[in-house]
Amino acid sequence: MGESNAEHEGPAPAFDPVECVARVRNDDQKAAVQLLEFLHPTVTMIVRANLPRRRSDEPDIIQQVLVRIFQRLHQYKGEVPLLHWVSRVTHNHCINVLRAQASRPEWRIADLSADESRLVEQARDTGHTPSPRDALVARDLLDRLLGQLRPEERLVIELLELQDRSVKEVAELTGWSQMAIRTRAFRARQRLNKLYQTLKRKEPL
Amino acid sequence: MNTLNPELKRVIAAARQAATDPIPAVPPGLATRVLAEARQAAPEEGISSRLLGGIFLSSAAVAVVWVMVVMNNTPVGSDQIFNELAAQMVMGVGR
Repeated sequence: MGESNAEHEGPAPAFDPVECVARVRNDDQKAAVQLLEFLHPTVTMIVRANLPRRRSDEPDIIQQVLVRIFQRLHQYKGEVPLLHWVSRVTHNHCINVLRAQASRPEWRIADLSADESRLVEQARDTGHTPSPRDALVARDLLDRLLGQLRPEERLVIELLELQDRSVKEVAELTGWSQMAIRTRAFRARQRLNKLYQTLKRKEPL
Repeated sequence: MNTLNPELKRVIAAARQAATDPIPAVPPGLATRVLAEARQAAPEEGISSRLLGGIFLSSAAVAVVWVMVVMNNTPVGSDQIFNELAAQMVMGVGR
């Protein structure tokens, strides 16, 4: 029965975010719910990329971002794709959340787990192929290192190095100029190198 | 441009292989909470500019009435000022 109805109705029309935004602006409650459901995965992915893994307040931050998006929806002029605009709002909110955290602890190898220490040793070996387990350990280790960077630097490393995005894409997603991204990336890599060297020291300075 | 330490590059390459956690479904009640909170929150720029525009128009209208009163040197009642003010505001909003 359901199938025959679906046949008569034909394929569902593709979701048009811009048209949906226009309906939300006219106080269409159903469109607002549709828009939120459409944006939720993107916002979740960006929040996860920006913030340390396994944060207990992740759902709260996602909710704050969505509130911010709906509050500012009137500011969206349609000059860039909606998801780029949403990405910029989300990145900026995450940067503010990270800035609000006063402490960025410095890690040394003695503070790492046995798996993380082993990974640091293995990283010296150019012929070593990481296992799937190594991948998770590497992600945790990198999270510790990224947690010591400034929020903008963390973001630029996450997007360029981990997500393998181009400078142009990062500019679209963050709203930063390509020159600013290159400068931030340069500084972020320098800082990350220093942090990695510090991490490998067995004893405090 | 890429000045990353080769060891660190290998750590990053390994981290990129890490499976990403699945994106959860929209939690129940999230839409209601978000939309209610967005409505209750303090007005932001768009609404503020409308408010500022209103204040500007009101100030301009008051100034116009005062100029008219001074130029004509005619005593006017509060009703007259109010009517003039309202007319100026309507004209301003309609622009």
